[in-house]
Amino acid sequence: MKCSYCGKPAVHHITRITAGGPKTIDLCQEHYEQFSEPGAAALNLEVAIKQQGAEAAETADLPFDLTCSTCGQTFRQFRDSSKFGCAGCYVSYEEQLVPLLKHLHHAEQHTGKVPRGGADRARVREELQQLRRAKDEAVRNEDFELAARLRDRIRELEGTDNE
Amino acid sequence: MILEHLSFNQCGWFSGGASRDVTVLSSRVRLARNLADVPFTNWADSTALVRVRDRILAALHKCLDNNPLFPPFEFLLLDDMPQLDREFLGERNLISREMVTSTLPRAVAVSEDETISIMVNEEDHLRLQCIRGGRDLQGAWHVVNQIDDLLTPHLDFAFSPRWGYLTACPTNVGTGIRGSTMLHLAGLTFTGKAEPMLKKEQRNGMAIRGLGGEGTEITGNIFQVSNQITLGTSEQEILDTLGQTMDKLVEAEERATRDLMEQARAPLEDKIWRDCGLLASARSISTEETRRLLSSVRLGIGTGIIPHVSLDTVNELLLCTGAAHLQKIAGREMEQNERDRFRAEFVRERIKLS
Repeated sequence: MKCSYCGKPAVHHITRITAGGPKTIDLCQEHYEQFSEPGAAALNLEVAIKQQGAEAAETADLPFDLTCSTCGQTFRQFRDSSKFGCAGCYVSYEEQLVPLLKHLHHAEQHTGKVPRGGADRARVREELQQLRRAKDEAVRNEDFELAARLRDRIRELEGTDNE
Repeated sequence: MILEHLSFNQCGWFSGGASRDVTVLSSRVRLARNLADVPFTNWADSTALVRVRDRILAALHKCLDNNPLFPPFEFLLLDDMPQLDREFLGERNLISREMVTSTLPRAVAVSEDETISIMVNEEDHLRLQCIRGGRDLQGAWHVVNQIDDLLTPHLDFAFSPRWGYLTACPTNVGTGIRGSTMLHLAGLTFTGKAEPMLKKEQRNGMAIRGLGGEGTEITGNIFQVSNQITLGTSEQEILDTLGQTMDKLVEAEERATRDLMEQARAPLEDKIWRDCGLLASARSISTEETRRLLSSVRLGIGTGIIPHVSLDTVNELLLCTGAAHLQKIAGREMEQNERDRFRAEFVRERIKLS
């Protein structure tokens, strides 16, 4: 495989999100470094994902089967399309997203406009999603007492969310 | 009816004094928003998308109908619209390329003057866009921010305190804002400085694209410069940085043009007049060639080499020589050969040698 820019042997293979879908670019060490400069590869999803976890994390180690508890999209489907299934994916894949978003935007905290009343609603919704996951986990572990307590809290919060 | 707006004068951001700037054609700001409790457009089924469309259109009617702050809006459903009409809206930058080609249940609300376009079920459920002629990022931001404020009480937007507005693609998350400016950089291209300068801006976090935005080729020396980063920086800071980049590029373009005039006036004049001659006499011409030659005429107007053609004429030809525009103007569908001949005739009527 040759570098897409200079024809030297390619040692890195990068997937970029483009308007026409993900595209793979093959790069030699030199062009890879240029590509990895801050901001230069803002859409460089593959590099961002590789940077998470262990240094030599192979793509096989990524949690491809991880499923969004709200919409059912898998992490693999997100990786293939570069698009999330729903707002809940941001909670379901949070662990994988932190390094990705840090790479894309060099930031991990929103600054700027906040919808009036939206921030509180959003907090409730995130907590609800976490509680539902914990409840499913408790049921799987047959810890029905915990599951019942979680269910009560979910009902309570659902009331707030609907108001 | 927007679909009967065949002349360029009806395109408010591109005509009638809106763009008197030789270098900066337009400024655009768009915001991406999604409803909190529905899957994103690419993941939702068509029943859900129809519901999203109904909810958003109802909110838009509530906020915009008879609102004295804005021009009247027209609401268009895209899925049952002929392909040619969608292409026409795309050429006028009122809908994105994705919306031109697909038949999902989508809609767009367009202001009568065509400066505001609100896309429903694009990559995100809602895309609010305002385009202004020349340099006016702040004016465009003011408008989309105002509409976003009006809609917020009616629509529950997907938002997280940590990640901001949640979008289908992680490249838009946070503010969901994309500012862009369309620049004609012929002087920098002729002096070989455009590529290194734009590459530097890319490394500084700017995206560089062609005339039609995302996924389009650069033709006619027209570059679209936009912000890449949307998270961790406020809307105002993002637009300020983009504005500074624009000022820097405009200044460099002016310097390059002055250098050309001082150091290579004779060959520059020759090139500009030859290109003008081609436009004035061709019997068949492609869109790409038209744009390339129009770039020379634009440079000729900026340098005073061409005194008899107006900037409005060049802008009109940039807009109205697209394939969909020509077919709508002719009132019939045309194959490429016939279109190229019709385009040449349309151009010859407007560009003369004196």
